[in-house]
Amino acid sequence: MTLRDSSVQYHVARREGDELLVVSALGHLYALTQVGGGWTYPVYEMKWVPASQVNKANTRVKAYIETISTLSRGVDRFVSACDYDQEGSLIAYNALRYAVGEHSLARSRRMLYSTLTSTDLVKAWETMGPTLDYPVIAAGKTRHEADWLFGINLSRALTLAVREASGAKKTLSIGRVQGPTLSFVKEREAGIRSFVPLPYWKVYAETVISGEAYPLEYEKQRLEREVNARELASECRGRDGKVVGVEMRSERLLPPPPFNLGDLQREAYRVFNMSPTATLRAAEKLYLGTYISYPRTSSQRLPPTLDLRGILEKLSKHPAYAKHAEELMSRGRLKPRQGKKDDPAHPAIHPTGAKPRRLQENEAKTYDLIVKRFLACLGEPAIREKVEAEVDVNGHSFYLRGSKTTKKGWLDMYAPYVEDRETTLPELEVDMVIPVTKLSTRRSYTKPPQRFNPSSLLRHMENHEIGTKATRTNIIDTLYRRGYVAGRRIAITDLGLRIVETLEEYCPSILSVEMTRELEESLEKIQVGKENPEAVIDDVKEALKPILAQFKDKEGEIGAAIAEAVTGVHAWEGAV
Amino acid sequence: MYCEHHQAAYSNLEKSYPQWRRALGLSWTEYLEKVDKVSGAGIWVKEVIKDILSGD
Repeated sequence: MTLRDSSVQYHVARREGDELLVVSALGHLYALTQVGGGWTYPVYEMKWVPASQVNKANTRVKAYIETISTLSRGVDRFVSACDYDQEGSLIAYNALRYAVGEHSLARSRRMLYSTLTSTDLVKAWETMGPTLDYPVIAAGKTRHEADWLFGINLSRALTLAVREASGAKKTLSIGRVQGPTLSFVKEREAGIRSFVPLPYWKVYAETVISGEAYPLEYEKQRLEREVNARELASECRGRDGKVVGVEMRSERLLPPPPFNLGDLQREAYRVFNMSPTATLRAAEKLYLGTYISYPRTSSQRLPPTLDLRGILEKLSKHPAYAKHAEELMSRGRLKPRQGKKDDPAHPAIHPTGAKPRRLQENEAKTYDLIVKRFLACLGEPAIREKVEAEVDVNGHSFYLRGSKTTKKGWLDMYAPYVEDRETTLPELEVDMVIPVTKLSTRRSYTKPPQRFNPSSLLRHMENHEIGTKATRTNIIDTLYRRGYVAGRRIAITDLGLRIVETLEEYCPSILSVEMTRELEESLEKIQVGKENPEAVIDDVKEALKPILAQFKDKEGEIGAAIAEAVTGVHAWEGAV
Repeated sequence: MYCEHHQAAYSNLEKSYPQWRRALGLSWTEYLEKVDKVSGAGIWVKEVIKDILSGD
């Protein structure tokens, strides 16, 4: 039964004689704010308050808090059933602690699940632990507090420095993950701007066998001197080549592992040109619709407890997936290809088998990609036969290369998302003579490094282990919103550049990958009960003290350095 | 005397010259003129080239 208290919907259900009241939150109902007033820095004391007090636009929060508070009266126990991750655990903890009261915590338990299907929810209900997941809550709380300390202090320091120097009222921000990420973009841009291309020559040759043209690849990808290119052309043009060796080998292409969030976002960018933000949004909708498992996961593994056959049976009812689902079910044992990355909370992203209804375009694309990847990871390896013939042309080696897929295996299940280029060669034998019908050399230049796009920047952050699967996308969005970067091929703006350069000079540790990575490691340890959250927050405060003291000391110089870029936010010329 | 960015661009120009000379047998000035015309050359590199050539 669904009821409504003021503007908030809640649900009433019965189970084993108990009445259950189910009410949602609205993301974080509580947020951090400083203790005491004044828009200055340093600020080290903070408290949790209703989010509407921090962000006045967050008007609906108040009604949710009131509903939770009202419904809690007379309730004898509480269950946290938010998404199973740090954010979800913290949302429920704060709602219980502040909207219901401290007394509720001792009577609270935690449901853990990775899909919203009724089977999984019932199982999570029946197997829930005796208490809340306090280590996860502590890690989430510490992350918020550490980020708040960095964010509020550094952003105020920057903003006030510029205001003092120029009177400009623009709010600037920088944080412990934003800083290193912006620094990555700046380093790449500097590499592009100071790039000197080098010349090289490439050889293009062709032969014709039985009326068909085939490319002949020269043994060297590049020639570094023009004179060598000319010599090669004069020695080989118009000559015949002789096949001096033919090598054949079979290549086994293993299926890909199932998606974690980063892999899904990169693949969606590759095949649909969909931004990581749009992919995450689509995946979250699919999860809420019970069509896929929880998408904010690092795992590339499907646990042995997962009912693969049950999912395939449901997928076999979808016309688009029936053929491959049935093919997989006809096999005795289902063994998914597992990736290296794991996540203690959630398996890799997979379909539940529930048939989606009325999906938006991005959701439909993302769903298809996830299902096909899931099927592919259960598929058999593909076999590709490769042929390489060495051709001697007047003492120079050229190669004829071909490949043919003899067993499609998982490639069929992942179509059309797999690149499968084939070149079939004719029968070739040693001593066979073939003509060089075309030969030319062309001067080219080495290319500058490529600008990041949202997908490659996300991977760069992952490789440097900064941010989390849940926060990286937001960090990139913030850089755009603040006007520090611009364009789909990400270019740093004058303002972004000036901020990085100023911070490099006056407080380089803000841009340091090491500092933020160490904090991530501490948070992981808190989550498994091996680190004290208070000690981590104390360390953050200690790390901030010298940085902020330096900021205060150099406020005039810092403000002046950034001020002139504040008025004109534009990407570097030719950047986008 | 260049700023840090233009100094980096100048260093790259110096480091790349031997390979250009070997490839095409160009003098320093001819090399700078060629690089200036290549589309992939960085903007700081082009600014340094302009500065050097205007001083010749």
